[in-house]
Amino acid sequence: MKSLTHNHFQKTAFIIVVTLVFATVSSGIFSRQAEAAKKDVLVVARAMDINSLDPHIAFCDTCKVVIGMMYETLIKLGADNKTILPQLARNWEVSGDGMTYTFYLDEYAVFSDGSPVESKDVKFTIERWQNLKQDSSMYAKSISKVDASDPRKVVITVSSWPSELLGQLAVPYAGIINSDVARANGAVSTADAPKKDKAEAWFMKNSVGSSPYVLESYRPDEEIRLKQNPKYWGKKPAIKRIIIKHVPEPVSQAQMLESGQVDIAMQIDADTAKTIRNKNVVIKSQPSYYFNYVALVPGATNLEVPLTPKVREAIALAIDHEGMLDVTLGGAGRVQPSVIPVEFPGGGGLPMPKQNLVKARKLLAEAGHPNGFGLLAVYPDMTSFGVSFSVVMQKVQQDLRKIGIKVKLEPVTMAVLRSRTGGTIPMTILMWAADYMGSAQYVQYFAMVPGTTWYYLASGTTNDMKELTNHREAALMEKLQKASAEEAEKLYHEFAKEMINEHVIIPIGNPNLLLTYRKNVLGMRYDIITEIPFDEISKR
Amino acid sequence: MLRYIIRRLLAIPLLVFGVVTICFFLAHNIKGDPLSSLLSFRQLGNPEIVAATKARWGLDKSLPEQYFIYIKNLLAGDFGTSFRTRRPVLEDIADRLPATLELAIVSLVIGSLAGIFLGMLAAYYRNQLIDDGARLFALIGSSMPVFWSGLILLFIFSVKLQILPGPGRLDPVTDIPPYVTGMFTIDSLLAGDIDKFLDAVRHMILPAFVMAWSMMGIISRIVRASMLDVLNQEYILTARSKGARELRVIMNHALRNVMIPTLTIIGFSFAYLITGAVLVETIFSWPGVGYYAVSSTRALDFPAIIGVTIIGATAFLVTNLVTDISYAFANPKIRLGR
Amino acid sequence: MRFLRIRSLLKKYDHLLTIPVIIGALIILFWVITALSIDLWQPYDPLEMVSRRLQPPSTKHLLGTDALGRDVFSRTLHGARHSIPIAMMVVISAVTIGSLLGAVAGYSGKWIDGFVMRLVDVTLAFPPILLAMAVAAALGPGLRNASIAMVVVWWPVYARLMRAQTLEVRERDHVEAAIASGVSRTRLLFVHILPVCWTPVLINATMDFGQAVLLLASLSFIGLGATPPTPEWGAMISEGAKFFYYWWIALGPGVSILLVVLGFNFIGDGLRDYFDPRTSD
Repeated sequence: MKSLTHNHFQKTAFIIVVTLVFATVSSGIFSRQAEAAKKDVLVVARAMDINSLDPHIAFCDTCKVVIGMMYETLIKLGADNKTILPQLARNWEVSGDGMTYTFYLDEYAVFSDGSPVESKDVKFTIERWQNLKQDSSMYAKSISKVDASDPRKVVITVSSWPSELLGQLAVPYAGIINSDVARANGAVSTADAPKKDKAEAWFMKNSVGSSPYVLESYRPDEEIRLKQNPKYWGKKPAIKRIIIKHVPEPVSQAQMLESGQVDIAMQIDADTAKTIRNKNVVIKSQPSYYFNYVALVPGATNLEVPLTPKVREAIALAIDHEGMLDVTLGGAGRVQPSVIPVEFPGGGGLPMPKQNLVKARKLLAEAGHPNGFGLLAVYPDMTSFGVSFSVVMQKVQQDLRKIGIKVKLEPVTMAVLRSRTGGTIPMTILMWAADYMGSAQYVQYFAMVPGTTWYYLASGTTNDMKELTNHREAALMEKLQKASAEEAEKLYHEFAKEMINEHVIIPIGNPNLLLTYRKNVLGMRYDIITEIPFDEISKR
Repeated sequence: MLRYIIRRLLAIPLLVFGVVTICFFLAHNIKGDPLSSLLSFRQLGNPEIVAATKARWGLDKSLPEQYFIYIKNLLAGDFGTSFRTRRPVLEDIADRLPATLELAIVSLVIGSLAGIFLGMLAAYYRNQLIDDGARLFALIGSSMPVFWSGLILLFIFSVKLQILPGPGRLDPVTDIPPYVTGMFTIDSLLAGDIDKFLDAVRHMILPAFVMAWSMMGIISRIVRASMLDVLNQEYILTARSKGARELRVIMNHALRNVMIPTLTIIGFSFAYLITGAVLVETIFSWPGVGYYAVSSTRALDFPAIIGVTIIGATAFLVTNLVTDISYAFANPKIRLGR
Repeated sequence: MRFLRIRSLLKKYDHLLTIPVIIGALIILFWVITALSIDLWQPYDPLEMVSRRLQPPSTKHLLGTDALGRDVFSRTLHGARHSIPIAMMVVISAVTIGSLLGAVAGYSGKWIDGFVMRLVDVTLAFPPILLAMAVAAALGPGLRNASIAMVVVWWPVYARLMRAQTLEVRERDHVEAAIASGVSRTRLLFVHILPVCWTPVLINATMDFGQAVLLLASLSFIGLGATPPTPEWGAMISEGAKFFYYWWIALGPGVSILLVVLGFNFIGDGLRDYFDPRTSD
């Protein structure tokens, strides 16, 4: 009796075990040991943060990459990230007063459906961009008029910041869209666009640019695929298909890069890069244009002690910038003195910050706080460009302790941080990635002048704090609005000095960029606008 | 009996309505401003852009008004638009449902079979080492945090031993099979692509095992108890004494009686599957509804959170009803309802 | 004499004190003692950066260091200070609230019964983790809010349990006698009904202590429970997932959760077998 059931169980167990082994082994035999993908397909690993694929609504780092590949702008940046080169516009003229630009469109330029790129498309694009009033529209704000009476020529008039127009028109969000097709699918460019435009959903599935690539498919949280535009009017790129896979963790990205499953990994940080052993992986470190900064909020409602200029200067002087670079990046970065990156207009030749604990303590005593005070820091618990914000804040905490300031750390998620900007954040840390080559973006964002984002945030979102308003910066801004490129450079330099002495925004490091890719990928370089210009890449 | 079923069926829409109201109340009672999920830092201070965004998303209306609009849309099948993906929530969920179903079905099958097997093993070798071993194995599976076991196994098999693939449903380069059901295993078979089929299967091994393991505990326990119950009963003893073949005795009597409570337990496992879906999908980057729920929660994307919860609750209610009915059918001695 | 008394005591509970139960009790005892005393004997401060980041286990750091240079071993032990008290508090609250409501519903009948049961039904309509996520997301991150979310998820189970028990007990002689002699409602509830119904509640609650630890860890893993830098097990595993190449970060917290849940499961199983021998061997 027992022997029969004993056999029954034994048999079942045996069958199960054999099946399992067979399944694993057979999949091992048939497995495609991650072979190199075909030569004209590029596979990229990236933590995708796409919030839209509509060029006038999207605003995120991955968006720049992808939209930059699907749409072409009037002009583009050269490989030195400074020189303006023709793209859809083959040449252009600037009026004497610098406020009117005439762009002559390339007669060969066509969209992905074969129709020619005409001035009416440029007009439609710019007006829709402005009127939808989404995040990136701030770069179109200074444009006051677009004249498209001649189909082969576009006349753009600006009302302010003339020195920035060319830089801003190179932004991916300025990509020219096929107005006929867009209109047919619900796009509206007039002033009532916020209520009437219904094209965003369509843009999530289709692209209507003139660039070498078109959108093949987009699966949120998974991947986005671009394929070759057969009607492209320029030199056809070597890569015919781009697959960007959503890989949220740098460690996973490194793994996929090492095993050859992806050709390029876009967000590997210095620590993870150290663990890569595979000789087929190239790691190149070079300076970048993004930076992280600590921000003090004088208008916060939960301050123990008012953040007067002396107190702020004391805090700024207590920070050990070199040590910070060491702890957060292992030295793979640069100290950035002001919010304007060193290579940008006005960013060079500025005094480097140096830790001075003696002076810091003196200032605090003068301000009436010889024994220090408590300070709350609410910050996003994330890693930005390879720098862990928690590590940064711990270092700041250590530094400030030396002058008696006790920092209490409150890490939160980014979503929670944004929902708390109601004036209850005395100190925080954030980052900034340059959107284009030009310094107006910094002035417009960081100046302590009513109307800028950081004035709003630093005043505790009241937008009205007299002691915070910097009149010298306001005067500089006025001049900049009408300045030519040469004049602007000097004015930006002055502006940078003002910002340094204000000690509201304290840059704490400009991390190096790590390009991590397989050895057989050629043509890799860092581009401000699109991060990596995939159309210049080829594979051996 | 019929009255019971009808009563329960009628209760479902009412309960869903309650669920919807609670969700809406939860979503709009938060301390944050939903606008912060929609706009970046740069624009929060710009009143023009804030107003334009509010208008686009209907956030400029009063709360009761928003509620009625929401219910009205819901009845028409519109679950709102996700803040994060900018697509209709229903479309987002429908896109991801096949991935979750595929994993859930495979996990359920593995978990049930393994649970039944372990339970039978434990019952037969009662009180011997095999019994203890089987029970311990199942218990460990249920006691481990499923996101941790997934992580450990992933590390061992994918990173160290490199015999199983990493997170995801297919290798990065592989195109997804032509859409028929959305389940890659079935679709690739239907397209005749054996390589792709095996690739999809390989990617499912770890997550399905992890989910199945978490269910084995409760299933094997019930099976074991039922088997013990049955094996002791009089008629089994009489059947044996009559010399009927052991195999037939077990198969015909024991198994059949074990099936019913087991089926109901499988029905109750639905809760485990949903929990598992949320956690396992996150670890394995499995783009299903669970992963979507977690991403939406992290981003405070409330239309998505509400959408997933409503659909999850409805599915949950239906499954519970089916389980209860089949349980009552199989065992009429149980008093139905109150 | 005392020796004999202990022996007879042990004999009385012989069925209860099986090996699994003893192991379970020892595990839980260890963690409770750790939770209470860890401050006294911690190797390192769990919140301080004490060494270089991401170091593998060594004699200096038994479980290595994490991404911020903190000692993983100390953090793991400290995790008990959060998980265990919170889990117990949550379950006890759920049991209390649920049982009271369920018992009241059970013998009050019609109105109250209907209302409470509808509330129970709606709450049970949610898949537990989704409800916990929705409530925790609405309230905001933090252990306190996660606890509230968990109580919201759990009370209906006990309400139902208690109600069923109450309905059954209501028929019993001593209760009917009490009702006939005009005993007050409160007295009825606390003296006659509740004391008889506690067995299934106890068994359920014991198992639920373990489940509560799991659910808290799950919520923290998603980002809704413990906020950094709190050394809660689920949150630590979440960090370990980001750095899974550095396997030691997630090892400690995972094993701890496993042990705690196993411990409670063993005890719960033992209790169930003791009180309901039909389901045992």
